[in-house]
Amino acid sequence: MASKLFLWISFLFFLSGPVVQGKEIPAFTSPVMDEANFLSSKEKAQLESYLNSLFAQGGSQIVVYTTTSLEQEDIAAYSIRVVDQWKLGTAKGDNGVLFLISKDDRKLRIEVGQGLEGVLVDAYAKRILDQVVSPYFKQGLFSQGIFAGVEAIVSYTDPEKALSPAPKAKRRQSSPLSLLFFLVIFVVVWVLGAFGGRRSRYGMLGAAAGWGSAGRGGFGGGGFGGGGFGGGGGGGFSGGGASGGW
Amino acid sequence: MNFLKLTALISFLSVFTGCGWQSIPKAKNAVEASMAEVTNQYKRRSDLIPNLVKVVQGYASHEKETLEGVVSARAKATSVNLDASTLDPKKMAEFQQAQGQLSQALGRLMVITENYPQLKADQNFRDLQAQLEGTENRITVARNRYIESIKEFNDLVTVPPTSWTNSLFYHNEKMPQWNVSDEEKVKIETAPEVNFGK
Repeated sequence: MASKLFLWISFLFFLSGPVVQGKEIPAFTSPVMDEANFLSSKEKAQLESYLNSLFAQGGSQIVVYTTTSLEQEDIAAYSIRVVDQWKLGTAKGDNGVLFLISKDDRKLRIEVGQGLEGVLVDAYAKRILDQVVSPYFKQGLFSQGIFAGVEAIVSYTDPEKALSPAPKAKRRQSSPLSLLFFLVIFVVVWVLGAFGGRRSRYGMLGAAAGWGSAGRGGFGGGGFGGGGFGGGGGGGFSGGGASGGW
Repeated sequence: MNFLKLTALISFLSVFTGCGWQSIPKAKNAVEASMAEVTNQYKRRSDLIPNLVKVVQGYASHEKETLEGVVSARAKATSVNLDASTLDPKKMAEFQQAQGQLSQALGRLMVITENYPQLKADQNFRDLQAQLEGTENRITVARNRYIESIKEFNDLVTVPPTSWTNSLFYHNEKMPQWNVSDEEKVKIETAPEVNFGK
């Protein structure tokens, strides 16, 4: 009886396994994912700290992601899969932006979270790509193009923060008590997620319960956001933004 | 070790709570929500069209036929409304066909704009074009999510063990899947003809 049950359960696990299609999405580890090596390590660190502090100050979560190739996939299709998995922005604000650059395809995309669609409308996103980023890229000035593009994005999404130089993020001291508190919350959420009977973003346990998720399609089992750094838990993207090239 | 035991217990229990009691109604709500999103994005597209037509008219007023084609396709598409709670396959096919015809009329309009460099240089037109592209992309995304949500719902009501719960308590029918090919068919059937040397 017990072994039969085990078989049954493992069979279900097999059924609910993720379907892999198209280009693989890397784990989200930094707001500057420079796979195509457009930036020097200094530039990368600079941009990273700027974007991190912008988000830490309550601004939008803007992520730059450069890749070498889209592997034949449409840039808009790939970019929506990426943001669905990374869940950029906060859950309440849906204020994430993905700036995607594919080197070999010479393609660009700005994917805008629902919370920012009103301030960074498609037409502005397109203008940024065509009039700000693309001229630099045509001359081979990639890092300048990326910095100028990010600056232009921020000028729409967080105009009040765009001009101020990025201050250093505050370092928080965590006491054992607050750690315990978070641990308790964590466990409670975990258990609730499991009992909810749906595949959740809380990873394995949710997946065990997931006999088909009731959420929107294509959210892979996200794990815990890739070690320390993760999306803000947003992910309200509906395909807004613009694509371009150089 | 204790933590491991707890994990095992929870995952064991969660399998039993996954009988569909909660997930079937949830999936149904998800289908309705994603349907609403699809119609919402189509509406967004038709809201953009009057401005687009006006701008194009300013530069290419003698392309009357194409412009009128867009206006009438829009009127037709906006007259077909979908109700998310009662998904009638026939109505849905009608909706898809009307929207497909509008896509096609818009496609033709965009082709002729290629012949007007001044129009293409107009910032207003370029903005509208970007908005239209963005909206088309939103439609694609919303449609894919709708298809996915229907699939999940259908899986729940047809695949055991959740299907047992369904037939015992909910008595939901399988929902008709969104048929992308219908829309594509319209495009293919009426592809523009190319005449050489006439």
